[in-house]
Amino acid sequence: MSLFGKKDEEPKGKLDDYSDSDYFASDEDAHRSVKYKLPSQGKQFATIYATQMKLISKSKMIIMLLILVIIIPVLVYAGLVDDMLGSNASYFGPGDYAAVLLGGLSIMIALLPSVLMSKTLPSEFRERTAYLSMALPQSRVTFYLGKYLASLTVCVATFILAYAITIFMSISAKGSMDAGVVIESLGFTLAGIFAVASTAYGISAFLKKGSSILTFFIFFVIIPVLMILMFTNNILSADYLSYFPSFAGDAACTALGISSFPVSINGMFAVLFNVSFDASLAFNGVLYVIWGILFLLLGLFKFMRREM
Amino acid sequence: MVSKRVVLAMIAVIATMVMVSPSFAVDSDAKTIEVEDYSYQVLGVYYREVTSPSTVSYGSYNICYFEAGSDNEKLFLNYIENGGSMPNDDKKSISKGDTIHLYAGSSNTYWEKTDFYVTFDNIDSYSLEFERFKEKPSLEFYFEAGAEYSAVVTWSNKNVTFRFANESISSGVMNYGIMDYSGSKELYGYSSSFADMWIDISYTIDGVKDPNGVGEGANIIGAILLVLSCIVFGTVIYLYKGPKWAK
Repeated sequence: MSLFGKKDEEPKGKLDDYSDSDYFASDEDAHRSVKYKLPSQGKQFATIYATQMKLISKSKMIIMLLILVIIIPVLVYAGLVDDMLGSNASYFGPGDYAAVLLGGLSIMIALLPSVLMSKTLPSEFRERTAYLSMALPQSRVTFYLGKYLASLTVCVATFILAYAITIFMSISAKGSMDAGVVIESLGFTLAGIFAVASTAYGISAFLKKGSSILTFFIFFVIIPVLMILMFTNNILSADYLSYFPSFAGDAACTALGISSFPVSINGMFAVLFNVSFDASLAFNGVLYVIWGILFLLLGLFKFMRREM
Repeated sequence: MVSKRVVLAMIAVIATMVMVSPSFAVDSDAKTIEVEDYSYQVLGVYYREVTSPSTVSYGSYNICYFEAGSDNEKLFLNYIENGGSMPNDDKKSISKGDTIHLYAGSSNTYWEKTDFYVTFDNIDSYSLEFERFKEKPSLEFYFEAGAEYSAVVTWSNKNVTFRFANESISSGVMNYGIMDYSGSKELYGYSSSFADMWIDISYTIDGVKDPNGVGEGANIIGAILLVLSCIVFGTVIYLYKGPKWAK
């Protein structure tokens, strides 16, 4: 009978002196005096990353993401964008046109990372797979970061696909387009995604059942409303609103062209109260990244101390 | 928990963003439009062909008429197209039964067709429907909500009045305003005579929105982003199909 799935064969190397036994095994076969190493942190990370990507590939979420992106060219070819712009279209440059196509950024930056991230970690515990994984030679840090980065990769890929399509649509409608505005806008978007994703993931480490609605409402409703209330009561200036990642979508649209897009609470507020925000990637973008790092570390802190 | 290398890499990324990002900052997109000696067409033109019921003895103040194909009409068509001097109409040469071409000047040419009253033979007044012949070019300037704008328009013809942003303006006087909404404001002149159809104006408008994103290089960025996203989604599809290691 074979042991560990190997056929019995003539042992190689030093033989043991068990003359009264029929079984012969080398040191290696018998696991004697053999040093084993744990997989490196990188290898552990790659395994978790690939496994999470595989999980995402099996979910219906990926189809939903692609459908959302495909809406952009559909709107253009259906003529809805031109109808929406009306007579103002002639004043719009390619950046303005791109800002209109990406008008849903504020909602999407709050929604998609929340949906992708909030259940990634809790589902591992609810489905008990974390208890199996943790028993393997697997550090908690790589487990935590591997799952996070896999989901973040898919989220970022969705947004950059939307940007790529928007750029080509805008160039096709308005001629050539400046690279600088695209990079600045993309910078705001990526910083915003990172902040929202990290917050959703970090909060989920504290919850038994992840809630995507909670994070979405925090970023899309609660923070803007609180900041607006503070502004209207003369507690804070309007600029403080732009210091929060909720503003990332508006900042990304403003960097491209049209400002005060009324598809977010910030945008509606800006239009109604005639307030304009100045956001720079150097300051606001870095604030969003720091926000994201803090929440990611907070979640890691909780995850490391979680009793299994 | 987090290795020093990771912390250093994060600091490096943040520092790079801080250093590089000012080069991507977009300048203010408001601009000044300054135009000297612009030949501005005050009136739009409507047109109607009529077989005269009798001698035309009177046309309303901004209507002129010509015998079809006459030299004066040719001069007039050149005038409304390019400016120059306004020819006399064919008042005295028209007789009963001739086909005449009527031209009506209007500061308002929003409609394809509009009615004008024309008097024939000092007896009857007719309301005739004219078709738009030449639209008055509009001078429109787009401002973003919250933008402060100002306009100085100068013209010398005292028979013409100008309006900007729906306010009557005086020649050479600065006019200020703040936009409540994103949209365009129109500069246009009023005149009651073909003789004042073309006038020279100069104007300076501040706070006009510049079209954003005009430049080069976004196609390269777009191609890079497209390739990156295709790699990620290609990997996802590959994983969905199920490579051996993932089963």
